[in-house]
Amino acid sequence: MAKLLLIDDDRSLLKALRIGLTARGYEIATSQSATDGLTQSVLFSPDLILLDLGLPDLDGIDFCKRVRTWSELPILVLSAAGDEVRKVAALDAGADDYVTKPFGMAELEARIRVALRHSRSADTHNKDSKLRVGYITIDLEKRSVLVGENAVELTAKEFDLLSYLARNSGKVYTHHQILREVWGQGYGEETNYLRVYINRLRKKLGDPEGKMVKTNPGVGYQLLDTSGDLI
Amino acid sequence: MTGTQKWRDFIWGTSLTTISLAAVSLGMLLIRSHISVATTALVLVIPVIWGVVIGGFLVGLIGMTLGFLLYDFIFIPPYYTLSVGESQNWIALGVYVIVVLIVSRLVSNLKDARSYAIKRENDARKLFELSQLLIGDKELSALLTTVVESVSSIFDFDAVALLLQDTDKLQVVASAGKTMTTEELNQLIPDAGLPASLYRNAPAGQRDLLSLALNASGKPVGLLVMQGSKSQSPDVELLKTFANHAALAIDKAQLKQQALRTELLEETDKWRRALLGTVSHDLRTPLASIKAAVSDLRNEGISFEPSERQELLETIESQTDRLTRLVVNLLDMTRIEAGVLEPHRTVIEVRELIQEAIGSLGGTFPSNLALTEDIHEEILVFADHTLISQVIANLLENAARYTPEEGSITIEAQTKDSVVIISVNDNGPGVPKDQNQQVFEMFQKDSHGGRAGLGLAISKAFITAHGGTIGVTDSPSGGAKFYFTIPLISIDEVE
Repeated sequence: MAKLLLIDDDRSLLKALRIGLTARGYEIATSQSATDGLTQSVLFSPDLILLDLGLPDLDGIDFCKRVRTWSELPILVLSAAGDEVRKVAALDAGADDYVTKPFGMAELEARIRVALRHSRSADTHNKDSKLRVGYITIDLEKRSVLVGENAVELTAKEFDLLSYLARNSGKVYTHHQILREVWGQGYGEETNYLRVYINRLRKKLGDPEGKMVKTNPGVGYQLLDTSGDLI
Repeated sequence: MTGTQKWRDFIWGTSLTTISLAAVSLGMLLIRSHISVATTALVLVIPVIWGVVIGGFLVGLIGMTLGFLLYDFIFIPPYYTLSVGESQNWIALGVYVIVVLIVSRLVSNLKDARSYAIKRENDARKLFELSQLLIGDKELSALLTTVVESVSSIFDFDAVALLLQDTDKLQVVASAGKTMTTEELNQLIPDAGLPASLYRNAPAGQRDLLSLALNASGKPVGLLVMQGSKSQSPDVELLKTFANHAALAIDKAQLKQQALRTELLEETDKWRRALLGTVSHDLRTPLASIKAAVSDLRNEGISFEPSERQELLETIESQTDRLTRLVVNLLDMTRIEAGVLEPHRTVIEVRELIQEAIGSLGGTFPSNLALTEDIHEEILVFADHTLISQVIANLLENAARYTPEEGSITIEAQTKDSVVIISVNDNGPGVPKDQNQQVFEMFQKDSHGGRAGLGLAISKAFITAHGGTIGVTDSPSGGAKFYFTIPLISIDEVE
């Protein structure tokens, strides 16, 4: 079963999470400081890190940056509402997703599962030139996209946008990250462009409600594998 | 010079001239046979010139007439008649009149020039004094009072009022002397859109009212209204110059006050936002644990061991206690800040305070932490036991949060001079030196790193309300040592 490292300075939350997640079959290690968390993330070699942003010794954002220097392991940020700026900064610094405190265990577990799934799919992607996220298949060499069995015509920008989101399905990409990666270094604030392209992309993919290309209000977008859901 | 003064000088000069002419004539009458007619005329010039010096040219004319008559009547033969006799006596009388006239004219011109110079000097001095009063960083209200009081005292008015624009109406903001009636003021206040006169404004029936518009940097500042001048003609020019100075000073003070108000608003707003941020963070932390535990317990798909179920329930209970304490803390602090809550002091023993604090922590205090009390004497303090035990509880809770599991916390109390120092030592990571003060602030630049939180800020407010100090330093055991002082009980206070 997957190994999770929980980093939060609040003991009682650690306790509640440890009991709840252990009962769901995860193997858990806990840490109350970023320094100890960094050590544990090597020694315990977790499959995923649950990270609180308000740690006493090191900012959660710096923690993400440090981990990203040597590992791609998924980081799920536990943030407080009203802390949007730092949440986005953590995502920019390499975190994969976030849950806002207080959260229910069901929601947390769902996020954990998505993050774990995308990290495994990211592992398999490296082996061929095709990306598969649920119903969507992207051929990076031929630059073609299939939804189910049907080919979809995308413009060059739309294709770049989709393949960027698909590279780490389930990961929340911030507006800033997407604009810089797909449009180029000079971009970053033009969220209006992005909204228009996302809208077109959803129409072409047959996803008008945004179930596959999901909006995270005020933060960014993520591509989800919806093949397991009942649509 | 005022009119009454002039009149007084005239009377005074005339009387002196008359008396001294009479005295001189009497004196010369006794030795009339020994002095010549020409000498007598010369002596009679002196009292008249004296009168001119005091009372001006008019006194000179009166003195001259009187002198002429005395000269003719007493000293020109035939004596005691107005007839002149020898024709050479006519020459003596003529010379007397001409000399007196010329000298009187000259002397009175000199006198006028001198009094004009004195007046100018006085004006300049008054203006300087007034301007001095206006310089310097005076608060607006103090400045307004200075303006009306100096105008009232220096220009001798019965009543002075200063009106400033308040939204769309002119309102009296400062006054000196007797209070002006509303009717009087209403007559002076121009209707909206009409220009206020910069000059003498004399509405029918209110002849002694004077109003001056105050203008600074091209915009109207207010209106200065004066009534009941004690002098015949108040020095309008000087008043106008002063009004200009006053207008500039008021304008400056108003701008400054506005800037201060804006700054204060910004500061309050910042504080409020920070408070909101800290409160929501501190309230949400226990809520996160409660929500996680409850959502787990409600999930029927998961089977927990009885011990795990127990642990989750304990978490919920202890976090509920924590929330309750936070809310109580917060309410008390708000009341202290609003000035509603004064510490309710009673004589209490320090150990009792600590017991109460530990009791209020309930399940919040981790059972695996060792808590030692290091208090060797019975110490009595005069304090609000609810507030101080809340402070101790906050410090213990803070220590517990940062002490590693199986760590230890020591609470000490010792007296020093006139205070008792109560300290909580832990063996957690300690507080960096540069954050020693910051941790007690309601808001910090960095929300991470450090032990900030509502508890410490609230503790500081409570201790300050008791006249004590709170701080943090390194503990000998390697962690942090949070301490606070409260004044020891003094016999006076109890009695």
